[in-house]
Amino acid sequence: MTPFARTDRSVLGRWWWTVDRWTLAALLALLGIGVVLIVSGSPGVSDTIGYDPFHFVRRHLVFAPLALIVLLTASLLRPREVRWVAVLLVAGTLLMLLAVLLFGTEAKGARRWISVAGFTLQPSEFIKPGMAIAAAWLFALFQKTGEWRYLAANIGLLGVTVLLVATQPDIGMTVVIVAVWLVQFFLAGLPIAATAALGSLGVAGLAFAYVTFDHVQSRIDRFLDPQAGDTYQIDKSIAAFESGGWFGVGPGNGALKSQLPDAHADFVLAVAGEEFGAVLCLVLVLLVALVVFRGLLRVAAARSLFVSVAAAGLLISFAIQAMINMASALELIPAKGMTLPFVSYGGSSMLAIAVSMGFLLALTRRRVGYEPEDTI
Amino acid sequence: MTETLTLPGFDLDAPASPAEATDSKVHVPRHQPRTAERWRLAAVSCGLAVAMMAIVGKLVLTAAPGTLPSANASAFAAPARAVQVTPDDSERSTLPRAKIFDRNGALLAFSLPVHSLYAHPSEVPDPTATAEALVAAFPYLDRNQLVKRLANERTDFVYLARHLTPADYFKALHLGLPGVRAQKEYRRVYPQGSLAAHVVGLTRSDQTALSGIEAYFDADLVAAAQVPMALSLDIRVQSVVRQELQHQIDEYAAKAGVGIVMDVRTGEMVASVSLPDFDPNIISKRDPNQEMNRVSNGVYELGSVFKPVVAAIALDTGVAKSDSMFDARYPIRIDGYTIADFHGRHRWLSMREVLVHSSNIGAARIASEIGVDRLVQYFGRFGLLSAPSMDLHEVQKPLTPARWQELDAMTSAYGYSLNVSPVQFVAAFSSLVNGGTLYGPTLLAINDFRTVQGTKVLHEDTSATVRSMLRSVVTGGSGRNANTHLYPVGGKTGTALKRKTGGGNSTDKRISSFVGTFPIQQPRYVVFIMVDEPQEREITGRYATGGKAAAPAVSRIVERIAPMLGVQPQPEILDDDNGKNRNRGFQAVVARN
Repeated sequence: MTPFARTDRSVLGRWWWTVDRWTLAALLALLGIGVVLIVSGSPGVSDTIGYDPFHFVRRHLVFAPLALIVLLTASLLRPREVRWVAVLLVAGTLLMLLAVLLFGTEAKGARRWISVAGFTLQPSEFIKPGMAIAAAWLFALFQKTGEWRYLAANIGLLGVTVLLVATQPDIGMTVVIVAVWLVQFFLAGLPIAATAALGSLGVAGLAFAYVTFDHVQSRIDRFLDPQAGDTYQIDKSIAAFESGGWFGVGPGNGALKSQLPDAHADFVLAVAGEEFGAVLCLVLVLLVALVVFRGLLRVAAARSLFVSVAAAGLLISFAIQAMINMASALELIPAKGMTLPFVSYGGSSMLAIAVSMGFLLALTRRRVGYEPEDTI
Repeated sequence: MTETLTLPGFDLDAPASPAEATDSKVHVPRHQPRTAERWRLAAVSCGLAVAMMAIVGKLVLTAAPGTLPSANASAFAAPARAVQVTPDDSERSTLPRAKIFDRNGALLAFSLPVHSLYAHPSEVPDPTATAEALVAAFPYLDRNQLVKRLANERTDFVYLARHLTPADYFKALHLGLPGVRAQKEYRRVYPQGSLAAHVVGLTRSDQTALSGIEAYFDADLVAAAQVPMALSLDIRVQSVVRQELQHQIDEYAAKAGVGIVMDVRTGEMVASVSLPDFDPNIISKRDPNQEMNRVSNGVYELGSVFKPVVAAIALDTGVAKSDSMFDARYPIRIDGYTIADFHGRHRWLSMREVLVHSSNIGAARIASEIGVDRLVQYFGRFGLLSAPSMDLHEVQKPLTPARWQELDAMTSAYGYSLNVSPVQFVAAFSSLVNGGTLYGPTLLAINDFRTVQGTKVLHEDTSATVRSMLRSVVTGGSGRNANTHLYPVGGKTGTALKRKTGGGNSTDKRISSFVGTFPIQQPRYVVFIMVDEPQEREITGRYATGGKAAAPAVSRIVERIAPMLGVQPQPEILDDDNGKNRNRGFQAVVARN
């Protein structure tokens, strides 16, 4: 079934034949599994919070198609357009971050959300794709021209972003942004020694966060020593996987999801593990791996430094986010609230991921011939 | 791709430091990768792959801890007694136990999923209203007790109702009571009730095993593999034996009874009945007298049924032949005891006649000829001196004389001195008639009798002669009541006076038994019936001996179970040497028609 003929030269026709359809399929699969898991897992949460049972389901069913539209629209862009959209995104989100800082909504002990037309928006989610593209552009410019101002601009951009995100405070997001930037730094061909130096600076920053922020300290302490405090969420999560076994207890039969406050978002993997078993969790890992490694193969074949560094940055961001989510639910790392891309409930996060993956699809489209604007 | 490019100044191996180009305003072809380097991408990919493997590993370890070292699934009906992890007692009620079947697939025990209502008292807003709603739905619940439990803030968990049926569970759900929760549990159910209760065994309401197969194979039954277990019992035969044994017990107002049917080719127990018995589905009231499995857990002086054993030893050692004569004219006086006959013949008797007339004097003389040492050696070979290895924990060791004296040997020849369990006696008796091979008694189905290893304990011709003599007992001796028209039976009666607690033998408390085998030409099954303390009754012809209290039951059992077990009717039989009873069975059939 091919919706477009090979000879179709329309925008959509060219898109169909040049876009990475396997990655697209994997992303759609994640989106679909997400809908199933939210339908199954969120009513218990809504119940606990006091919403009506299908509160999250309804909102998720609004956001999922919206995310799909964003994803497909973004994937139609040409690399040059991606760059400019990303720059606008960075500028916009930085302004919004500033706004959040001044008059944002406080929830769960942090100011991360801002109300826009009835929806609460979390601007820090949108900085991730923007940053990945903008940083890649600046790295490519620096490597091409050797002009230090590009590197300085890049570091400055990172600094401002980190400052605005870390003061919310959102340490997890900060870690992801810095980590992605460092990997891009490394991939852009900058010296190993510099990468190592910046990496250790990052670790030092993390240690600083541990000392400064109480909740960071408490989470790490509880991970290292479960006796140190309440490990309710993670205990329930592990119990859910144990109860599910290989094939799960069946859709809707899960008992532990109603005891998990974040079953629809950060612990959606536990719902999958309990009701559908380890098999579905393995499928989720496989889908994420498919997106990441297929993407990296395309990056290896890219002919422009900007495209390769930008696409790699988006992929690393996607991978880190997915892996932090999974590893948290499985008690591999200290609990860190982070959504599972396309699967978890969360409007901002899902739209941001849609933008991010849309950019990725746009950058990894097969391009024939020489596209001068891509070679910067 | 990059490697093949040969751009001027493009040096992969020695990337120039960006510092060198600080002041350069001119476009200098210097370190200027046109794309991300392959090795750097590979390094990043490796890091991601390792992280993903860690996630997959932790996932599998958490969700399916048992799967990495492969689970040892034991084969059907041949449970390996390997070390298995048994769940805690607290978990047992939430896990199903494997099913138990009889040899033909009739269900004897299974775990039924049920629900139990419970509550965390702190979550129940209104204990009184909750209790009243529950009592309205389930009138058998006690309102005051429920209120007390629900209002008990000190405890975290209270049961409200155990083991609800699916219908009641849905009823409870529809009550929609806040704080009342349900948990899925399993309840052990025994569809055949008391029929095979002693063999299958007993479990508590939390499914912990107490006795029988349930306890002996507990580890296999709780194993995750859920391999069903097939027992050697044939529930139809079991039912017949139980009925007929109960009939004898009722008729003779007896205390208890034992009935066994054993396959002589394998040692499989096709029926194993101990009366009185109990319903394993009702465990609220338990009676040790009912729960006692007399088949393996009781030891008795069985009386004259032992005479064929001693006769077989005499034949096998060459001490005597079936026509060797023994002096039974006078009672024997030894060590202050007198050995006398019940129906004295007061003449010399051949060994065959010793069995036919059940002469204690003759049997004692035979034992004396064999000698204490050889007799005890053979008893040991028959497995009569140690506890039988059974598939049950409820197995009693035999009671043997501390030191075997001449007197012990002589009395053991007619079934005193040596207290054995019925099952080990039946196993020994089977070896007497099956050609001389002893098989350990088993309660597990054996798929192919040729695979069973037995121990050769007697010569083939010894067994043939014993069969011939046993047939004589039934055709012309004390065992007449055990005969059937269509299935030739051979066997021996036994009537033992119970030992009084103070010492000496009682005069009216007996163990009356009959052990028989059919078809006698080539035995397939041994049937044993033992009645404990049958009372002498006018209507039953006064005597409560083995020939009266037990033999008729064996006859009826054989007639009823032989068709079930596929034994061919044989009206025309080769009979004892004088041929007096030749074709008697056949003529009887003709006469009846």
